[in-house]
Order: sequence, then C-alpha cells, then structure tokens
Amino acid sequence: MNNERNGRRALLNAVDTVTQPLIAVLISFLLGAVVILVIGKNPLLAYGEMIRGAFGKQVYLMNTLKRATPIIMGGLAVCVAWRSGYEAMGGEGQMILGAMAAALAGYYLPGPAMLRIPAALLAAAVAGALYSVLSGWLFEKFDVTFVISTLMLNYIANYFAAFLCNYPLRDPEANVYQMQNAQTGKLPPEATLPPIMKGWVHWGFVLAVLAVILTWFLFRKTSFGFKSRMGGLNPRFALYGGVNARRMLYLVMILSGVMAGLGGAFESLGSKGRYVDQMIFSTGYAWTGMVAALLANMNPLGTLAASILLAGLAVGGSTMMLNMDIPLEVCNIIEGIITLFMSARMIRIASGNIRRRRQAKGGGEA
Amino acid sequence: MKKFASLLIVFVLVLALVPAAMAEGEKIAVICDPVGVNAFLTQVVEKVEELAGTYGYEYRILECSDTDKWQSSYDAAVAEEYDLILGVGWQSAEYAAAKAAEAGDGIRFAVIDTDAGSDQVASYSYNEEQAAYLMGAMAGYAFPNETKFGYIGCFEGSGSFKYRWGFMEGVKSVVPDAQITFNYTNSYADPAPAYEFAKQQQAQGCTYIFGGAAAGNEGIFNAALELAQEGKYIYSIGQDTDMTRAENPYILSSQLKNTGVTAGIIIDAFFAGNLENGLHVLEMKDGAIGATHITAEGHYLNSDILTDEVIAQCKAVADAIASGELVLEMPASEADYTFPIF
Repeated sequence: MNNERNGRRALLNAVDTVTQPLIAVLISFLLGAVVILVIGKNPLLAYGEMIRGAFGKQVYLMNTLKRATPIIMGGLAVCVAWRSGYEAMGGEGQMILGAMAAALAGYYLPGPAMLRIPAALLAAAVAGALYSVLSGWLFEKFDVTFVISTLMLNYIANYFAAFLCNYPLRDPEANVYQMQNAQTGKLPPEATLPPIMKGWVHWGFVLAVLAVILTWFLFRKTSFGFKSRMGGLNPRFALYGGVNARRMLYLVMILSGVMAGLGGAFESLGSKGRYVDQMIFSTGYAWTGMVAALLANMNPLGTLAASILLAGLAVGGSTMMLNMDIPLEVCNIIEGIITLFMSARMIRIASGNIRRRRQAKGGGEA
Repeated sequence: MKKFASLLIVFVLVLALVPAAMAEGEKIAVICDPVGVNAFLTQVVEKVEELAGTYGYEYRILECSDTDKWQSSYDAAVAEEYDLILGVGWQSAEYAAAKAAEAGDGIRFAVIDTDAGSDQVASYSYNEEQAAYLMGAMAGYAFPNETKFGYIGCFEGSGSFKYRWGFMEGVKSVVPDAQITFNYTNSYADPAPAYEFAKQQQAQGCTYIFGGAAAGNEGIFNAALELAQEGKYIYSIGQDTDMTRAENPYILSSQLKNTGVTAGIIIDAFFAGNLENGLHVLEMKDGAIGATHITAEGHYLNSDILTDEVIAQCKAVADAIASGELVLEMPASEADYTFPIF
C-alpha cells in the first residue's frame, strides 16, 4: 500500500517537474504574443521567425548551441550548489575569471594545441574553483550569506577583468583606431577550441554535454550526491551520519566553481577567441543558466534542454528583428516572464533551505 | 496532460511552418548597440532612414543588447542576404572582418568608428582627439582664471583616453598650470551618475566639466540647471551632435562626431559602386569632427561665456588643426602620459 502511494507521489512529482516549466514557457509565449500584437505585428509570424532564427538553418542552430554552451555550464554550477542547499549566485564572477584565465593562458603559454588548450581549461577551472571557494570560506568562517558574498564577488570579478583588458593585458596588437577595443590579444588557432566540423559549433558544446552527464551521474549514482545534499540541508544530521559537512561544503563549491569557470573558458576559447570586456556580464550567461536550472528543477539533463531553449530565444530574436522589425526587447520580455513564473519555485527552494539550516543550527526551532 | 502536449505540439508546428517574410530590392542592415537617445547612433539611424527615401532600399536596425548578439546579428544579416552590412562601434570590427572573409564579394561590409583591419571591409574611423583638444582650448579661453577642470566620461580605458588626452592637452595649451579631475559613469546612457559626479566636481572647484558621458551627459546638464538656482555655476558640452539649447545656457558647445555624415558617405559610395575597402580616417578637415559654434552652427550660443574673442581664438585653433599646422601626436599608451590630477 505504502509502495503504491510512494509510486503515485513520485509520478505526480515527475509530472509536476515536466509540466510546470512547460506551462511557464507556454504562458510566457502567450503573454509575449500580446506584446507583439500591441506593437502591431503578427505573433504567429514573429514566433515563426524566432524559431526559424534559432533552429531553422545550420548557422542559426549552431549559434544557438554556441550561446547555450556557457548557459549550460552556468546552469550546472547552480544545480551543483543549490541541490546541495547552498544558494550561491556567484556563477557570473567565476565565469568571468575563468574566461579571463583561459584567454590569458591560451595567449601567453607556448606550445602546441594539445598542451595549450588543456592548460587554458585547467587555468579556468582553477580560477573558478578558487573564487567559488572564497564565498564558501566567507560563509563558513564569518557566516556571510551566499547571496550577499557571491553577488558582490561578481561585481569585483567583472571590474577586475575590465581593468585587465583595458590596461595591462589589452590587445598589444591594437592600432590607434582600435584603441577603444577593450579586449585581450587574439588567440592563435592552437589555443582556440575548434569547431566539431566546418560550420559547426565548437568542441566546448560537446564538453558541456559531457559535464551535464557527469553531473547527473554524480548526483544520481554516487554517494557524493547524497552526502552533499545532506551536508547542505542539515549539517548536524549529516555529521551524525558520518558526513563531514565542512568538507562537503568546499567540495561542492569547488565543483560549482569549476563548472562556471569552464563555461567562461568555452566562451573565450571557443566563441570569442579572446576575452572581451563585459562578454560574460552583458550577456547574463550565468543568470540565464540559473533560469535554466530553475526551469529544470535543478535536473542537469533538464538544464541542458532549458539552456538550449533560452539560447534559442536570444539568437532567434536577431532574425525576428531583421525580418519582422520587432525589437529584441520582446525576447527579453519573454525571458523575464519565464523567470517571473519560475520565481515562486525559487523562493520556495531558497526559503526551505534556509529554514532547514536554521533548524539544524538552532536545535529544531521553527 | 495529453491535451496539453497536443496543444503545445500543434502550436510549435504552426509556428515552424510559417514562411519567412521576404524582401525585395537592396537591403541594408545596421548593427549597433541599443540606440535609445544616444546621438552617436541616432545620427546613423536618421541618415539611413533619410537615404532610404532617396535610394529606395529596405533597411533594418539590429540593436545588440550584449556582446554575443553582435555575432548572431552578423550571422543573421549574412544568412538573410543583406547587401550592405553596416556595423557601428568597435564591437563590429572583428565580426565584420570574419564574415567578410566568409561571404565573398556578394555582400559589402562597412564599419564606423573602428578599424576592422581587413581589406574586405570599409572601415571609417576618426581622430577624435582633435575635437577634444579644441574643447579643451575652448575651456581655457572661456575660463582663463580657472585652474581646476572636470571630465566625466563613459568608461575608463583606452577608448576614452583619446578624449581625455585631447581635452587635457587643449586646456594645458591655454592654462599651463591646469589640473583635472575625472569620473566615469560606466554606461553610455545613464544620466544619474553623471548628475552626481557633476555636483561633486563643482564642489571640488570645477566650473567647466567636459561632458564625455554620451547620453549620460543629460545628468551634467540637469545638475548645471539645479546648481544655477543655488547661485553655483558649471558649464559643460555635449557629444556627437549639437546639444546647445536656449533652455539650458550652461551647455556651451558640443564635440561633434558626425556618424550620420559618415553613414551617408558609405551609403552614397555603395550605391555609386565606389565604396572602397580599407581604413578611412576622418578628421577635422573632412568636416566629420569639430565643435558647435567653432566649426559648425549651433542652436544656441551663450555669448556671455563664448564671447566673440573666445570664438575667434578657438577658430584659430581649429584652423591650425585642419591645416596641419598644429599636429597632435598621442602617446602610445595612457601609461606613458602624466597630467596633474586633483
């Protein structure tokens, strides 16, 4: 009887997991259609152009997958941290430092591609992990909430990277008419992630898909997934069960930071071929990744699909604007509406985690 | 659940089957940052709109709200077979060069305010430091007894250094013991920080503040109006187009960078069949850069400050720059340049 009830509950949860994002997407598209109607355009034609612009030609599909790559990694960073009960929002800062570290390693390190690319990816992973660990340390030592520390660290990382590419590490080959180009030097071919095939997306996308599978495996098939979740949700209970919550905190932060850092590396090594000022900050990859993770209810596989959907919205917007004369802001409105619809779930997850941790620290008080 | 899934599938299929809107005739795509009220971009948009009536082409403005959308916009414009793709701003350089190499001769590429570094792209750039120097000289001639001057720019870095260097050298040419203070709004369009910085710089003793904050200059202009009511006066300048107006006499002039004229040069050449690839640098002598009341007429002249004598002195400087008598040579990098800062 109990087994039957549990099975039904699991089924309902699964249905809820699938339907809620779909309903959110559908409602947001319908509301977006109202906006398109208000500006005097045909929503069906407009959405047709958007879908065609995202997936309708090889170049569009590849652009969508390229844009999805850092979003997937940002989403995974959120999945890792949030599933473990840490509401870290530092993916952006970690991604920025990862992108910068990879661009610098790729530009300045000598050697062939088989050494330079792994070295650049390693530099990005280390940079992301260290920056993530910093917020973990602030949380552990000084009880600085993740929301505050990670948000502030994002700004610091962005301005630090802006300083580097504007001054000491600015493209040394820029001429006087390229002085406003705030970017590092152009990476040589042996330091860039090549396309899978001519005209295809770069290998970073494949690595991102592998990272999705790895994350899914870690959480579903290893004791790390169970322990990390336990350490974040109820450190005392985890300790009672033999789990070192402090160790798990740092492991989770490292893994989350590695994901975000690599996301930045894929962007600088694969898409831009250098670090360009604001390339992570202005695109909001990490935040879109968070939306993707929320849409997928922190499921890595779902995050992959949601990231491609959200990237398609942005990429398709360019074609919609070209052929329908519709402002790109309409796409941003749809994305905003999706975020709005999912925010109730985010608040529920966050408040639940905080309550559980307070209960664990305060001996069960409400 | 089944009904919902069916509905969703039908919805997506209907959308996917809708054919693309096709256009006929010549097509021009302009790829740029969000336009808003940024005169640097509105000039281009207005010129493209104006010339569409002359040549009968279809045009689209692709506003890129982030760095990645520059690339997807270029890809879309090429895939949709636009005939001329005009990028405005430094972000366009790399993508224009890359797409021009891929696209072959069928599509023409041009960029404004940068150098694509490609012989397959027509690049139009400016020597803005000439106009900035003129604005600095104007500050010195208009306020010869002041030694503290302010500067409010958009972003700190090599891009804004051209402006700051020109301005400081211009001031120094008239007021050798001048000092400068500077702030940055970190935006091309936010007047709020410019407003605060203007008030701070006034409190620090500045009467003349170089307005280099693009659309954010409105913050400086509003601060000037408010401060005047308290008996404190600051004067500033606009950027790119003539911003002078009778309702705000504290806007003395504008540093002109006529991107609209540049867009016109490119489109005219495109339709005449003589748009030449490579770098074209526009200077004061070309009329693409200059200053309101000095090299071009303005809407309103505050003749109490910009007296006939001041204007004559500034015109002499402009003439010297245009004729090549006064040559401005910028240092290779900001690190090689020092100036008294307070």
